[in-house]
Amino acid sequence: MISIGTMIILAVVLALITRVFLMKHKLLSWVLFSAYTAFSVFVLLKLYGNWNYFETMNLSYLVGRINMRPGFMNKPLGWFFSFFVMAMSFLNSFFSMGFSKSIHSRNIVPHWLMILAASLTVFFTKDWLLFIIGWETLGWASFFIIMGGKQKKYKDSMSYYFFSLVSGMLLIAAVWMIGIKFRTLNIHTTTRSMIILAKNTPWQAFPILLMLTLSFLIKSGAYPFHIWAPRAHKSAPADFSPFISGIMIKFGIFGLLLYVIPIVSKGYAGYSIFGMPVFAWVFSWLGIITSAIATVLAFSENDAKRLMAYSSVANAGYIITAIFLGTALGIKGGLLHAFNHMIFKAVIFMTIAAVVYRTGETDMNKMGGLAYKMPITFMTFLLGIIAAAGIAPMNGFVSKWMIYQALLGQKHYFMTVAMFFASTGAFLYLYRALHAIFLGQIREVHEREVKEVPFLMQIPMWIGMILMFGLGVFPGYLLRPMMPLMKTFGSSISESLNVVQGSVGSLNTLFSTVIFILGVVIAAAIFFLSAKTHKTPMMDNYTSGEDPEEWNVTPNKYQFSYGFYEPITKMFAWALKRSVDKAYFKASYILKIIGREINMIFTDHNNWGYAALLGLLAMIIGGLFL
Amino acid sequence: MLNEIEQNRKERQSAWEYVINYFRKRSIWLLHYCTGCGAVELPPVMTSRWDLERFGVGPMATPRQADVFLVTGYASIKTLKRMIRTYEQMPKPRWVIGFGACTINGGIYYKSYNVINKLDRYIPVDIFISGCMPRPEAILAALEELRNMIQRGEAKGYDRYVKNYDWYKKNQKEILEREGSLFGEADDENK
Amino acid sequence: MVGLLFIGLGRIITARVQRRIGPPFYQQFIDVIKLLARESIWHHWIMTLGSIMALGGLIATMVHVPVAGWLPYDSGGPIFLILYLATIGYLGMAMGVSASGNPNAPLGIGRALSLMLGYEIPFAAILILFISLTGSSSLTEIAAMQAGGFLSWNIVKFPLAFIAAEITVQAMMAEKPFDQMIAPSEIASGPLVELGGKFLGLGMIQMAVAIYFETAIMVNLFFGGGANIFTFTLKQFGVYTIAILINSVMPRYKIENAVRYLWTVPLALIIIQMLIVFLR
Repeated sequence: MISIGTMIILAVVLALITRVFLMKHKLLSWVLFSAYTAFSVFVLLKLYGNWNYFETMNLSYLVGRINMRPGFMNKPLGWFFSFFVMAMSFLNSFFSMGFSKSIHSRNIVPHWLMILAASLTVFFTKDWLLFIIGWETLGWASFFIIMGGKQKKYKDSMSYYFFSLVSGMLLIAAVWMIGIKFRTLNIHTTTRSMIILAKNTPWQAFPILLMLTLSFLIKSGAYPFHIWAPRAHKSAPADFSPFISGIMIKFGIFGLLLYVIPIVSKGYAGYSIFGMPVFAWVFSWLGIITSAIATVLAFSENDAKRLMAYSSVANAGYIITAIFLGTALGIKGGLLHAFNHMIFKAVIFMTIAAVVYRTGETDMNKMGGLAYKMPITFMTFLLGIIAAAGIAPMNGFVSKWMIYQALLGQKHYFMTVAMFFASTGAFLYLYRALHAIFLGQIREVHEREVKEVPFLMQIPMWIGMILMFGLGVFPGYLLRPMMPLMKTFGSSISESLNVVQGSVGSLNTLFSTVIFILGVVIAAAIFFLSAKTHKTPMMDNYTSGEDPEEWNVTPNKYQFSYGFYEPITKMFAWALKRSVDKAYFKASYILKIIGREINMIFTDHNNWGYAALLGLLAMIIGGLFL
Repeated sequence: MLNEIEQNRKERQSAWEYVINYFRKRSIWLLHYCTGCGAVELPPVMTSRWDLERFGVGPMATPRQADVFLVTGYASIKTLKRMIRTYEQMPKPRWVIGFGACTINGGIYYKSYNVINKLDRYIPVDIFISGCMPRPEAILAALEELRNMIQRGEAKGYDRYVKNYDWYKKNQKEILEREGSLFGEADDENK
Repeated sequence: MVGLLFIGLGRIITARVQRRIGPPFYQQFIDVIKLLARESIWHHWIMTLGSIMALGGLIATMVHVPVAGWLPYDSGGPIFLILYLATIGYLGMAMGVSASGNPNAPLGIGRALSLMLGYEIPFAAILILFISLTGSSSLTEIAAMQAGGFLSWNIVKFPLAFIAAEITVQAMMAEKPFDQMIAPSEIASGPLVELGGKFLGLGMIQMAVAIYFETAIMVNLFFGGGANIFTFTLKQFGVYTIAILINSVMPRYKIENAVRYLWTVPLALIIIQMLIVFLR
């Protein structure tokens, strides 16, 4: 049996090999990557069910006054997240193999392997120290992929790196406090101690919890830290965006579920509001606010990747809300939505990458009608947005339904209404993406040049489609393996294959899908039994009788895409005016000025005044203390 | 033209077609091309005095949805082009009603330099309504006649358009792409 | 089919309001059959797919709405499933007309979706009121709760919620003053602009199905379901008549005004109703 430690070391070694020796052979390094991920999926599958498995390194050292023996433990939560990381990377590798031939940086494979190593570390580690190391590695490795050595992407990737640094620092600070308080850095023993601490003296536990929560929320892109998400997605290589959106955002969710949620839901004894700890209540609302704001921001977005990034932020918002409810149903819904979101958002970003591969564009105003040339990509995207909008027969619906049920079960009616807003809004901007990229008039350039992506890149799309539909019809295939995971959160309901139990109702996905298919069959019967059809070209359209050519109207101009939701955007103009971006910009501006002034004190010899003032200040302060 | 109508009458309708024609005649959707002055007669026909909706006749927004193309009044050369495009966008079966004297022989615009005189030369008209203006009763009578023709399977203007496509195209081309001075050529068109 | 009959009767009612006689009540059936028997023009197979998906989704939605307490299988009228199954119908419609390539179509769809953002929120609030009262998201149980005569109907118990719901359903059916999406004179009937023949025929069936289940939801929520199918249908027709009467005398909102209206008046009404219910 291969240990987890070996897998991590293997990934690092492979990363070094690909970085040093295989820089020129992109395809070969992708094949290695693919083989590694396939192998890890295999190893992880063998580990499933072996929940007592642990390994310790023959290595012990002192951190401060704490004796450390680093090691790994197989817990259901970590297992699930790492399984999805590996499986999605495996799917993605097929895509990248086809993709890497054209526009691609060579640095992706080694850094991606580093990310995989780091994520295995984070998911399986027993103590906080390795967790921090893994967390930081994730930050810088993904920073290098996102930037890809290009100067023009510096600013956007820096904003990502800044947030991940802040997240890391908050984590380190929190862990430091934990270490001081409990004299150990073991995650699982400190969880128990934290529960006791939170019960007895909530105000001592509060700062630690707050810092950890903020650290994890930054990683999952919650408001007001959401601004890195669209920037990072925009500048990341097209085939890495699925990974950011599917996986990277979920690291924060993992952290929350690992440490914060058990403590808050079990031990917190502070004030409560609506039968919920204030702490959890505030962050539940934060989740919903995140999704509502991301939805509004997505309405006026013109870049496909940025739009989908906002969608990811909105979905992360649902998940945060659901898991902070703390009920078994909420956590189950949140987790299921996290996994479903991994699948459908990865698939959506793959289709966008396919579009980028063929057209080199992400600006939706410069696209249109690509469905006529790329039908498979279109179908994948369609099923993806059906899932992403949480519409019935796809997997996104089941988890969203569970979140609704969890909210209603706890009687959070206003949150439910706010979630309805975000959910309907999702339908709005996703349809806009569908229309602007794939439907409407096709541009002449694309008419001539674009064709379907190669078969290698279609493989993950097909698998994604099957997964999305399959898990929508039989959510039990995911919920049943999740039973040991849910047991750790105190729920021992045995899941059936196609019936999901909620708090105020149940859902039979199989029957509803069968009825939907029957409905489609009836509709198709009506359609195909009636009279014959007659095809006309795309530009033969109702134009009030005018001839488009006479007015020099080309398909490029005959596409409605720009300012699609202008009325709605206008309604939210007051909100969009006060954006967080501006606040950040102002803060960075002030920081820059302060930095320059401090710099002046030491470098600018003409500026004795400052030095004198500083000296005077020091003297005054010193005098006060003495 | 008469021969063709005779021929159509001789052809026996199948029972299926008879049934379908029944539905067609009970649901006639109009697309009115209201550039001419005749359009002013339509509102009374639609509204409470004469209430066209009793017969299942109603206005539609686009040529894709409509059955009957109602050309109200004169058609200038500029509008003719749009008319032809609109007519060709309508799905079959489609019918055309020439409304008012102008569509028959040009009416008071008989000698105008840029108004066509015979609509039937350019798109196949199934039924004409004479008068300048025609009264609403005349419109209702024309629709009644059109309904009867549809039921009998005689209103086959769209078939005529397909059969004599070259002839129609030639006429359209002649008028739309003519060169030279516009003035003083009105007489030539009606030879 | 009942939906088509409703539209036909609705046309007569509109005509009577406008002092006309109106078409025969079976006019809508004639129109649909004519359209289905007609040659239809399409631009791309996605149009076909969209039309079929739309009708399929709406039929599936209709099946899940309990009619006089009757359902084909024991789903209990799951309200969330109903809302989201209807959405796939709308998505299909939107996709189909987008593929026609006419910019008027996505313009209309954009309006329809904006309006949807408007009415879903008050409607969700109404549903939440009833879910909180019954403790169940099943329409059957919400209807069953109102058993026992006229006075226990929700329309009597919660009149403010009913007014809010009536406004919301008006927007759901896209009747005036909320018919921005099909505004024939502005954007050439919006989504329907390129639909002819059987596409339009399917579109009319979709509309009929949508009206049928929307009124059915209303009857289940406010009129205590129904003892048998006849009283149920009669109540449905009552709901539709109210909508049609408002429709026949109203002008049209601008889309942003419509959304703003839906977020203020019905939502305020339902919140007042909630306060009354919860504080009592």
